[in-house]
Amino acid sequence: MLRIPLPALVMVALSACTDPEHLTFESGPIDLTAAGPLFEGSNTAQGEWNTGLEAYLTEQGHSIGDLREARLTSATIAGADSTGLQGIRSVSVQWMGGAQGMQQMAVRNPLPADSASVRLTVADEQPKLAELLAQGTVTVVADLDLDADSDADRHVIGSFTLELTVAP
Amino acid sequence: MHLRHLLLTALLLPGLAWAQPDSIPAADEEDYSQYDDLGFADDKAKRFCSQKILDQSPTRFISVMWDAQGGYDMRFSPRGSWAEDAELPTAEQGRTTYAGGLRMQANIPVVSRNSIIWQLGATYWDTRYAITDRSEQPGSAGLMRTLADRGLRTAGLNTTLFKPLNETQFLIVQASADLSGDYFLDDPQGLQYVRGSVAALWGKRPNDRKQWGVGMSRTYRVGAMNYIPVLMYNYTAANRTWGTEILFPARAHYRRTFSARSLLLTGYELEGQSYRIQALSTDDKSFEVRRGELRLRAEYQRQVKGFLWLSVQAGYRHDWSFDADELPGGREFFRGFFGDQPFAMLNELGGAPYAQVGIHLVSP
Amino acid sequence: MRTTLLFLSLLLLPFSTVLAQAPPEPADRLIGVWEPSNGKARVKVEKIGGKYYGKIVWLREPNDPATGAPKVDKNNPDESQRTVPLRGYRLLKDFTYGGNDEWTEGTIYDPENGSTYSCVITMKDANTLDIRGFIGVKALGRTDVWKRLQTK
Repeated sequence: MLRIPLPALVMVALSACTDPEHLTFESGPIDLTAAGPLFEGSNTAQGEWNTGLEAYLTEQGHSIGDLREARLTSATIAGADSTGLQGIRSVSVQWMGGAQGMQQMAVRNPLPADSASVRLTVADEQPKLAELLAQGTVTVVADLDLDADSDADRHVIGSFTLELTVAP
Repeated sequence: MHLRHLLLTALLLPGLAWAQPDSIPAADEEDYSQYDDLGFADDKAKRFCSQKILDQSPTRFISVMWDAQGGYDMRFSPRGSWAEDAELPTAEQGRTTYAGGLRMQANIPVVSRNSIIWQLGATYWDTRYAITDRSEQPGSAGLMRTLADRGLRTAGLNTTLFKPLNETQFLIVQASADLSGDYFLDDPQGLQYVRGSVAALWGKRPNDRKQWGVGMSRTYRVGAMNYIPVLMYNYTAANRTWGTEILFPARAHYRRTFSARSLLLTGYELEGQSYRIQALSTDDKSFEVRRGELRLRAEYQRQVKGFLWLSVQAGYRHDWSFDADELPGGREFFRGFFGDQPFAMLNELGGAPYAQVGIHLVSP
Repeated sequence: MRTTLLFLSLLLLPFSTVLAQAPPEPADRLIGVWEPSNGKARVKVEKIGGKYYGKIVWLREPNDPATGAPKVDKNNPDESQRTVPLRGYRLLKDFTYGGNDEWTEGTIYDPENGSTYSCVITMKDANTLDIRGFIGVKALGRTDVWKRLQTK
């Protein structure tokens, strides 16, 4: 019979118990609006994202209190209509909410010409993201660097994918 | 019913108007060209030049360093009254395997505004000696034994005032009071042996990459007290990869900038003090070793985390002066480069490699 | 009843108009365009979600002399975000009004070295701000005086 020392068994059992679970969470499309008139240069588009994270975690058999860590793994900005992302030179995205300060999340500079949708470079440093998401609502701010003035509002769609680490 | 709505609307409208700054879009969009042509709202507002130039090595609030040099011979003359170029017998000799110790410095801004910066600082340097192959001839002063037993210390206070006059011109006044000798902190020497240094400088900062100035200093950097003109020249090249940090003759460095978080300085620094040796002094005469060192060196500085920076320095220490004077009543005198006042001892130190490592809290 | 309401609304309308023109609340006095002492940038302070943010709206030298392209946040400690344009960059973040002409809890970013400092803003008079960036305790800091700008 294989003899395994008791402490090793306990270690294995403990590590099995405490292995965190990783979940992929999609934001869905978030409408970000920069209200006209708009000017050449950096203009702020903004949208509220009701994350629905609590409901999602419940669905997965967890509670919001189980959330240990969150990481943005993918950020995409797409045009909301036929103009796509035309005339936008660069996009920089920040998140903020409640007591959590504004933090830089993603950037793309320059944007490829005439693209309908672009994937942004996600920030390596994402401090306190779990705390921010746990608040339920995130204000998404996208700075759009425009190449010309325009009177009309500009809409873009932000989509985000996060990896969540939850306690079992 | 309609009337009630009208009334409510009339009451709430102003509130809605005030709420608007909270909702970004309407207020946020920028016609950037509108900012080209703005002026100060306050007519009396004045612009001042900054204390630093771009990419200059960071100003240090608090520093803790360890300095070490070693592997050099020492040769001391007998005590007497000697002309600078006298050929003297050797009364003491030995080999220093290690000389060094802890150095701590703090520079805290008391007032730090763009119209004036006033800093107060404190310094503590400790130098201990490990000397082997020591020999003493009859008539020796016993200085080497004192160094081995007690080491040397400097503790001082200093203050720096930076006063910009306008957008391009500035004044700097720096003063320090140091107590140097073989005393220990629990038994310090009298405050009458405090030695003062002062420098005043007028300068120009024509742009963000250049700063120069001229002035005068009373300094102990070459060991004995001296009055020396000062020339400042801080410069950063247009491509931002290199520059100079010069406060001649105290120090001059070429700076290689790797990033906003790391840089390399190569050049030299003169450092020195007048150290009172207790055992060789009397109430009538203060026996002081005029220690002045020329340090040819390279120093690598990099950010460790946040405002914590690390420095690693290595180089060659050339002995500028280790001669000694007797100061009647402890009163300082001026010999300068051309004075012919006799020395109490003429001493020689061989050159030595040295290294210094430090950790620093740097200023915003 | 209708007559009374009409009378009331007419009575209150002028009052509500006066309210609409009242000076901004003390916290909002920070809103405006300000110039740091070095004169190299102009910063517009605005309110987002109840907090105050200051973004660069003008740069004396908008293009990087080395590349000729518009300046970006090239010293950001997060290398992945070094292409964020500097014009439009928010260097004052998350300030809340703490009373006594002070805005606290915020940070200031120095694009020259990529460092973020704790910061407190004090309004000395309507057109002057003391912006104190500090490390841990206020004593270890530096104050820069910013001046309000307006259309000439």
